Amino acid sequence: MPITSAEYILTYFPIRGRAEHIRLLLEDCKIPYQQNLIANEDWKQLKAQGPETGEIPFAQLPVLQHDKLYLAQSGAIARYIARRHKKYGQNEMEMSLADMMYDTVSDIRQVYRDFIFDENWQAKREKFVENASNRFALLEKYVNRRNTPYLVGEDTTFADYHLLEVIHIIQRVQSDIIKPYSWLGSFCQNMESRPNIAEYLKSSRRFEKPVPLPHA
Amino acid sequence: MSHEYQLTYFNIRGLGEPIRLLFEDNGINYKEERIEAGEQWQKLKEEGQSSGKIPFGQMPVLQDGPLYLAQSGAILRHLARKHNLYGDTEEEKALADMMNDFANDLRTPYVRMIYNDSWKEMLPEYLETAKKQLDGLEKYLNRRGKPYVVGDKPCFADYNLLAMLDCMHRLKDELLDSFELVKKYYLRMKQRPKVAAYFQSNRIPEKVNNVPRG
Repeated sequence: MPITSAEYILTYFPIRGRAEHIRLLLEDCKIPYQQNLIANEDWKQLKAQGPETGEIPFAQLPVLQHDKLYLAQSGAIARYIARRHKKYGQNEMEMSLADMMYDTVSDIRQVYRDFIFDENWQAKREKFVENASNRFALLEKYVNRRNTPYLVGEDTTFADYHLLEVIHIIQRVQSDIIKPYSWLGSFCQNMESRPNIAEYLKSSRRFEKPVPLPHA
Repeated sequence: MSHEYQLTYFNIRGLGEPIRLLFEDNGINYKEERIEAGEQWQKLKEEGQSSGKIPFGQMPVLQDGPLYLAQSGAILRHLARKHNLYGDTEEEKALADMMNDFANDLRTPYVRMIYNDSWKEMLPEYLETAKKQLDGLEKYLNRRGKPYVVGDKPCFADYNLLAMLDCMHRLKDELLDSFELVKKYYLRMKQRPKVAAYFQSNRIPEKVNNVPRG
């Protein structure tokens, strides 16, 4: 891969959404990046043009631009950055576990998404909390067996930033969601006190809302 | 040392199929444990969560030596790294990830519809969604200008795409027809000799989904 001085440009809406775990990864590793924030009124046109030019390949955000590469899919973006900045695990097994953990967290995020966007969310709240808690319980069980400070090992991987964000967004619905889970509790505290993450979480770069809904 | 992977999944295509296609096309030895939905699965699910054999209460699971790996995407990537099916350059790896996740995006609305008892009413809206997605794929294939989704040979994402395009083709014969490159790509994958042989064999599950349709 030719050495490029090109910076990463992350295109997304001015919310946390699907970009936040990527921002956490970039911020924690102090990787320079530009943000291209898309206002709602501009999205319709961009969405229509995007697949034609290839700049927004599948009419969805986030997209990462790096030199001539326009990369869609938040998981692909996270993995691309992780691969380039040693955040994909220390060996073959850790790489596979990172993939598994990341996708397991994505499943939890999907459960959140189905709930938060449901117009009947109030009626579904209890069941959502139960479902999320059960999934966190399985995660707790698995990581306790492995007994590592981060999801797959001694160092963070792209999966850890994804987990942190998913815990955060669900805590906004149920603040004590991970209270029963001691590994997850320590993990969360640990991640939040990493200096670059602590600084980012307090900064004006960080958006408040996971999704643009009043109850989120 | 003889080494064999074991795939544990339902006796359907579903999320297991991209993995089977990857094995078959590359002549990789594998064993399967096919689990019936219902009582057998409930039992395995419970036992598996305690033992770690079904770590997150879901299938597919791949056993590779002492490793029990869940999540179809993680399994595909694990095999891709081991068998040189992840693309050659950094750019190709990124695109492989993107296209695999795109294939998953094809799956999501399909599964939501097909598992719904009112699927027939949902079908027209699903087909509109599918067409928009296939249009995106058509444009991508056109820009990329390669026979496979990332380069000159298949990567793990191609098997996921093949599995989904086949589901879509089975659902509605002509769905792929308005997308020239997509159709050509689909046939190119499906006609690869080992893939074609697998489709003809008795190893391919008859059922696509855990419901009697699709």
